Amino acid sequence: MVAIYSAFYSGIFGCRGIDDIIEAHQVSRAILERVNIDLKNSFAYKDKSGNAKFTGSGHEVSFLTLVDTFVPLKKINLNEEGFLTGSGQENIVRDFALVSYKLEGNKLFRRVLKAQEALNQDSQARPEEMADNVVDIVFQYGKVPVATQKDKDLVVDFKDTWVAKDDPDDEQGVLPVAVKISLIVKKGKIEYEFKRVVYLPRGGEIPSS
Amino acid sequence: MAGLKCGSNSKAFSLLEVIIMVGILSTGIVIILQALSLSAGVTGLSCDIIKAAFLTEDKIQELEFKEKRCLVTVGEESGKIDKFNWNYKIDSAGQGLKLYKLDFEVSWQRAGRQEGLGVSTYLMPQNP
Repeated sequence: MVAIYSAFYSGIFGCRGIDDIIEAHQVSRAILERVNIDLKNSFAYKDKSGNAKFTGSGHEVSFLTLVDTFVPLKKINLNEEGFLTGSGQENIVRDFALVSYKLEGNKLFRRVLKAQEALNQDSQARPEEMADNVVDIVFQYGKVPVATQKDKDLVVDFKDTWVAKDDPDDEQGVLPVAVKISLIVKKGKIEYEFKRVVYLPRGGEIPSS
Repeated sequence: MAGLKCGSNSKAFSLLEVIIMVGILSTGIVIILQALSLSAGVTGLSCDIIKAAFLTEDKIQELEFKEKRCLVTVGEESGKIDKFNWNYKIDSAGQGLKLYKLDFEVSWQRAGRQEGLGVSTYLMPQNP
């Protein structure tokens, strides 16, 4: 009886550990994939007063990007061949949005301000909770030093904050070329650390007004 | 004192029956424990694959960034991050083609076995 009890106890104990590991990895994967997609779709822009829209600090980042938006179709059209157009898939369009990630306590929030709302600084839109077991998330912003821009080897310097504004000494533009993300997720008593470096396809671009 | 009766009317287990029962029970427990062990191993491998996929995607993004800046050249490079060994090879896709073939591989050790992940893609520098 003791042998049976020990075998099943250790088995159930192991299963609980496996559940924790799977959940921590899946949560981290979901967060990092979402941040990756948002960053890769980001673009440079500044408003009339010269305030650019990519700002970032250690635990917070905010930028303009493209997000999927559901638009209900008002009518169904027939194409030239007489087939119906306007299936469910076509209801999803890409719209610009101001996306922010912020760590508060152990919760990671993502706020999306779509279309015109993206330019409203006083927007009261509430952020959406992405995960509640995040110990830490650190963003670092990379740029190619001016002195090495013409070198054959790629050199990227990462710094802790990014204030997107025109700097006469900085010819890099306002988008960082890369964002390094360090994420620590806790599940049970164990902390899991993940690191990613997302290169922005439009990194280094000077924004259009 | 009444003794135990042997034969077809006996209400106790014989030694043979007990041995068979213990054998079946032991086999069952061993199978269950092996299943749990296998499950733990597969979970660990799945977690490793997630990290290896992140590493692969990051490195390919870096190469695409280099591609955009025309910094891609034919050659090989390798490195190690945590327990993951990565290496890539960039080769010309063909004579006269302004195209490079990229073979990227990540490998790591898990429970004494060599595991790996490979990706192949093409790079096209804007001004090769």
